[in-house]
Amino acid sequence: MLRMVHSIRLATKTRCLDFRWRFGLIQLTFGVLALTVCIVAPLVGPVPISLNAVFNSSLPFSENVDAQIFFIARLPRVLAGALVGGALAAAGVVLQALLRNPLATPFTLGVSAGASLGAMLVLILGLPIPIMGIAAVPVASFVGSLGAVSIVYALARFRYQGLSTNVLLLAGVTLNSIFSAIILFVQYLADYTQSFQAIRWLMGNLDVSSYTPILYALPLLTIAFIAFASLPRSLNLLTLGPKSASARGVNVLQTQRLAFFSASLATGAAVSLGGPIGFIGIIIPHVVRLLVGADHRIVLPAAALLGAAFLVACDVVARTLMSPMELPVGIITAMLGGPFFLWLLTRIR
Amino acid sequence: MNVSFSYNTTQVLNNISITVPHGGITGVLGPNGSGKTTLLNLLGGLLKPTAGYVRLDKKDLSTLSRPLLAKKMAFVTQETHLAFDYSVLEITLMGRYPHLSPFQIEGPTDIKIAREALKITGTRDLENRPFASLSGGEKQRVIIASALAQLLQTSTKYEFGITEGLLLLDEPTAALDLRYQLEIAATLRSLNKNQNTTIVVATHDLNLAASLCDQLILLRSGHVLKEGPTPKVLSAETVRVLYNVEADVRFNENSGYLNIAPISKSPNEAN
Repeated sequence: MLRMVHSIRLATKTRCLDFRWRFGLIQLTFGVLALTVCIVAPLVGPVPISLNAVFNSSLPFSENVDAQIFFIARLPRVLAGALVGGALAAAGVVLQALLRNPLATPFTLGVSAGASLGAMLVLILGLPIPIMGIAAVPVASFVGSLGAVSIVYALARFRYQGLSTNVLLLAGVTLNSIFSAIILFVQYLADYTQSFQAIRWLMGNLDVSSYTPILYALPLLTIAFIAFASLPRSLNLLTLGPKSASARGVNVLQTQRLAFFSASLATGAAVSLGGPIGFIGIIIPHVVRLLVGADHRIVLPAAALLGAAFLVACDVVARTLMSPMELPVGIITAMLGGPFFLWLLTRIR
Repeated sequence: MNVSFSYNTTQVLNNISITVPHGGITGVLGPNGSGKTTLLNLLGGLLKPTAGYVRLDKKDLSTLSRPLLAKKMAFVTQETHLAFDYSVLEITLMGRYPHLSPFQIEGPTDIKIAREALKITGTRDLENRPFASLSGGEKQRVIIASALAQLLQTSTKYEFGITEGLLLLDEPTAALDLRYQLEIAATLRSLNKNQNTTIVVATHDLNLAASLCDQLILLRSGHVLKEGPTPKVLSAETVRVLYNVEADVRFNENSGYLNIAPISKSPNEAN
């Protein structure tokens, strides 16, 4: 697949291939990969099941164990993985372009730390009361991420005509440190069980056993992805610098605002669903750029598809590697993805 | 007209009125902090004056939308640092942004225009190269090509032409060696002559200004010290007042332009 994507890139660099073809072929390749992983993933686990048995209409659902495992135990988890992976990878692409910094991640701007603090407070203060039918932890983590976003945005706008990306970056990094210190403080005061729960949440986990959290995160992610769809051309120009982008007709402040809020929304929703799963938001955008070039019109959707495929695949490994024990997927993403990225760095020029 | 600009409480330009003639090359000269870049940003509509107004073809810039302005004028910054590695053609095609609707993809005409812009700046052979792999001079010429792609329109008389384009350049040769400085100067001259592009260039290089510009605007501490045709404005006296430097300014018969040789700091330096 790597070779295929790379040859499409080479053909388009010399304009042998029209942009539409290039876009279509690359998205098709990553789309087929994501779809294949999402179909295969629910079939893999400690109990083997088959697709034929899952869709066997002669058996009622209550008696069809394969269908129950597929639809109740595994599919919500796969869907959550695809949404979280896609959202974090796409948010990573957008934030790296907005900040003009290849080291930016969806967690750079304090969104994840805010979300973690919200979740920690609920876990450790023992307030797991559902709010409007949703578990308290995801709600608290989403509220925490919104709080962090508001603080960082207010600081970046304070005394600046536009949006200062330097302040955005520094405020985000500082806020991360402050929130991390508070999280450690809260954990220090907590008892052993609460502390263990908190650490498990911080490792990132896709232990989703119903469709409810997915349905609540879906509208937020849909809004974020609609905003993402309008951004790529402007993001290309923004990487030249705000002045050059403005001189070429880009409404810089509007683009920066849209990029910041949509990426934060996607990150907040993803973290509330799966916890702060690291690595995807920084490495997947770079893997895609290495394979298909820097054009954000191609990179953004391709990164979302690859992020989805990658996290679902990692979750399969997390579920099966030490079965019946499940590992937090946040550990697997870096352990699997890191060496792969280092290998890719040596392969592609 | 009567333009002033200040960053917070620091006044950078103070009630200045200048006119940039259509079809000419205008140089903006002045010491560091005199307001050259600010003036260029105001002319390009990238900053709004705190008092007064800037007009393009009798229309106040503040009444024109950003994409409309971008079709009429292009801005070349001093240096371009890319966060990610685009190819030369991709960078040039970015100049077509204001000509396309939000979800429109560059068509064959846009690619032709980008290639024409690369040809004009002598960088057509580099189109598939990564921008980061180019030399300083090549990079600057590619950025100028991207600005040209922004201004080039299809016309009936020529296949492509700039009808009323304004090109603003901030220190285009600052980081370049002598050869690349000459290359950029030749590119700008040819654009002005063959494409009828109006050019405004802010520079520290007095010899570049003398050889390239028809008219000069001399800025000192946010005021216009002098404005007019280059041979009239550029003299040993103006160099002394502008930079506190004694210089030998004389006509060079070989080049056909004024030649400025700095000699020493002025003994009457105020500061």
